[in-house]
Amino acid sequence: MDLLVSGLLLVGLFFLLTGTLGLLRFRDVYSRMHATSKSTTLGVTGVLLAALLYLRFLGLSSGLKESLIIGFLFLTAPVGAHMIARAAHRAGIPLWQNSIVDELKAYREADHTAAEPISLTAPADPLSPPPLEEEERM
Amino acid sequence: MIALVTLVVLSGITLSILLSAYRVLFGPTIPDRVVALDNISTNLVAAIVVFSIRSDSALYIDVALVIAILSFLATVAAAKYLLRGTVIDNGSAR
Repeated sequence: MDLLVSGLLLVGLFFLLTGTLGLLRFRDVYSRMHATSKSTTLGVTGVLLAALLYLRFLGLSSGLKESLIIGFLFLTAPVGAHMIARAAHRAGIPLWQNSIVDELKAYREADHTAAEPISLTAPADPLSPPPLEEEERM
Repeated sequence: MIALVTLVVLSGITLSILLSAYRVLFGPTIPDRVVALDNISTNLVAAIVVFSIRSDSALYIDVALVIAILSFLATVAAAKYLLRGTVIDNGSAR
């Protein structure tokens, strides 16, 4: 039992330190976030599984709250990372100079050009009243 | 054995938090600092859980849960602030 708990704790520590190492050594915001969001989730999951087993073994906890924290972290860590990445990209933080592909920038630039030819006016319907003027419709 | 391992893991998490503090203090851009703060709070959740194991008590799990929730809220608020300049968007700002 002690061996299992200790192993889970050390695995969690390994993943947490790996995430921090990535946070320090990677080149731009997006790759740093890529390093931290996934590996710290796994690290905290390892530590929480150790706590679940240990406290359940001692009869101190039912293990429900630990499972709740694990589920909450698995839900919120990707959402938070995605929101920061989107805000950083929208704020114009540049990628690392040797990055190959920027699909979001390509999508946003293509979206502006592709939105022009689509007509918003419905085709003429002989039974409906005539369309409004341009200022009134706006 | 549990006492020794939890001491080692707590030291490692403290080292991780201190290393992340470098990115908070000297991060080149603001999203770097936000990511580093998120990393610190996640490490703090792990540290509190390890301390809960070390002290043979299940009380600190509640603290870890509250800090996890607050960390997510802070991350979302910072992302909204970076995106729009306000946190609570009532439609009048931009």
